[in-house]
Amino acid sequence: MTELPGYRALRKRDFRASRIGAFGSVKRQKVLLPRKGLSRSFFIGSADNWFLDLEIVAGGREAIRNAVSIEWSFTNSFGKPLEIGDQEYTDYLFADPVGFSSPQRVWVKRPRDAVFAVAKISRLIKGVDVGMSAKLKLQKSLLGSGEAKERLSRDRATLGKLLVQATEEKRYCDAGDILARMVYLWRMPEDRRLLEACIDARKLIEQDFRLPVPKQSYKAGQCTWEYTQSLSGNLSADGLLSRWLLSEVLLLIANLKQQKIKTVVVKGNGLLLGRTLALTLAQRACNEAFEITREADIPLLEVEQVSQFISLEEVYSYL
Amino acid sequence: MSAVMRHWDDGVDLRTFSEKCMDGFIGLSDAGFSADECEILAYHPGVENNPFQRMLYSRAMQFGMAPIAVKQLSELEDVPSGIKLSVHFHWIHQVFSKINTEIEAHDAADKFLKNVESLKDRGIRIVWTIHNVISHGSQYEAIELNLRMRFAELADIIHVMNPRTAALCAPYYMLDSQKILEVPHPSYANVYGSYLSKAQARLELGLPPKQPVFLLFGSLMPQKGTRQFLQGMDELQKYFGGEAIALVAGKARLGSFYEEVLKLSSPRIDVKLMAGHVDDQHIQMLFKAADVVVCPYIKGLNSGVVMTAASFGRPVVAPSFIKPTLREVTDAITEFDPADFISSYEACAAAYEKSQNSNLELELLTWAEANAAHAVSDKFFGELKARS
Repeated sequence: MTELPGYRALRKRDFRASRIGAFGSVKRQKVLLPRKGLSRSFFIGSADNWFLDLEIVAGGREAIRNAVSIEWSFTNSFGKPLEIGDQEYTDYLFADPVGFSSPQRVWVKRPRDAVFAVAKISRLIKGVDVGMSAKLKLQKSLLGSGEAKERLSRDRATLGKLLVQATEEKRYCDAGDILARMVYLWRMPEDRRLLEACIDARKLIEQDFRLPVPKQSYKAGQCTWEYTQSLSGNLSADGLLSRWLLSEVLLLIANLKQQKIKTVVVKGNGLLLGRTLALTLAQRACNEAFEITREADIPLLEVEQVSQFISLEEVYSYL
Repeated sequence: MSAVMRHWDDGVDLRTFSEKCMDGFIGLSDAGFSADECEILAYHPGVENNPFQRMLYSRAMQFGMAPIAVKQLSELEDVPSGIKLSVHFHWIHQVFSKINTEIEAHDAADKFLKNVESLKDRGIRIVWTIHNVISHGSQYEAIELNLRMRFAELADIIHVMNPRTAALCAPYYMLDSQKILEVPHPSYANVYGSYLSKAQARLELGLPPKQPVFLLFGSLMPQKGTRQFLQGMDELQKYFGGEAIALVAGKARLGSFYEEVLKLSSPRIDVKLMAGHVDDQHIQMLFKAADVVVCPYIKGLNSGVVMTAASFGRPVVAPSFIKPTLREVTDAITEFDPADFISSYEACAAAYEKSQNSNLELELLTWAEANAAHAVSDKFFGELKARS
């Protein structure tokens, strides 16, 4: 006896209908999800922007994270399976308490050449009945609902789109809020890293790039040094800017002091803006004891951003 | 089944290896080390469920070295170019962990050695701690011994904890005496809680207060001699008039070996089996409840269990090759000959007699304090720095 009234167990004929893409295509189905999963085929053709709306419920008073997974696989027009990464093509859904469920949108990320898709819908949690209520028919995207409403969504694609918009429009406070919601909803390390990078970058701006570097006594000689690459290695897009900057500034100071450098020539392309920023900070820590020159033909601000959560203008105003 | 998701709140370290190196460098700079004094000590493989590495590295930062676990050797490409790097290897047999055939084992060993050679080409110092002559339950003995022989040639420093390591390895591979750095295994003083009395520990475990209790602690594996010891329990009882109790505690892998241990222990009321992960908070209970700790190993070189026993003031029965690891306290280890297993029961009787002398407990606790993690770590890094 299920604790979810109105939801029925899947029958053999449901699985058969699923394989040929018929199950739930006409009428909304309310079924209990099995652990081994229900594989439902879809024809997706060459169009993008398909989605499914599903309501997932379970007993209890709280929503359960990652209660259901949808693993996508794809075949081309000849029925040949396409090789895709598991993680990227797996969606995880919440199970809401009965009476409090809302549709959760799942987007079909169509790989190139894919014509058919199979969604394997599985219950991930043990010992609890999980029900799905959905019409298993792909729908086309109808964008245009208000951002405020979209930001309360549990649709990762929608939140991801809002995040990109916010960073492109330099609304970093909004970007932080969206990321915080994504971290709360999915607890994914990559979201958390981005959120940390965002907060760290904004804090650096607020504190006028103040880093814990003690003032240095520095006696320059006559040497010139070409600064062609980062001494701290790469700064990844979701790494903390403050960490990289501090490490780079400390290594720069040590290196320059040891060689008694008088002039530093900034060269090379990698992390040009970041390196210039680090060099400026090092110069200030050393009471401007060395000079910085830059090759005139390098368009500094067009090479790369220091961090996606800091605008070029903000860095430039500091340099 | 779907891929298992990692969550940020599961305690996952979100930093990349390169970021950890930057943090290490920043931490050392903050402690007052100049950039050319700072060094990253990347260690591999990092082991989470055993405090050994944290103990050995507990004083690293005071010597200008930041210890950072490295999962894949390829991550070492990302070390900031401005920072000095040494790589400390531990259980190198892990290169065989996902291997199914001898050919794959050969390839894995070759690939690993090539990677190490390329590290050396970059001027990186290679340190190796030899934990065993050969790994427990090695599936590819000849290949592993060959790997060890070639790796010993590549290593710049070979850390040994048992003074007899070179002699014990000699039948299989040679260690260059110039490379050897002898620093003992640290004791576990201050690592685990130690506030229970023996009486309370026995009460909690349901063990009688007066009967002799022999603890066999650690993962249940064939080469650890547990099976042989249990088979001869009647021999042990001859010395104690049937009053002795064997307390067997440790993680067990399901399989035929565990089935055998179960078969041996099920009919005996003088064997108390506690198969499963032992929480750190329970370790004191087991050791405090015991009179003697038995390490009936057939093979081995070092033993964390011996050090744990000593840290709780308990004498040990161990094979002769382990004896030199705790030579400072004369009665700490009563040795037996692993080729003559029956001698272990006589050793148990002798060790029990010694355990009744409260001076021995005091002597062991004093030794453990003097050889606690920070003291041994000081010695290790002092020597390591002196050789750089």
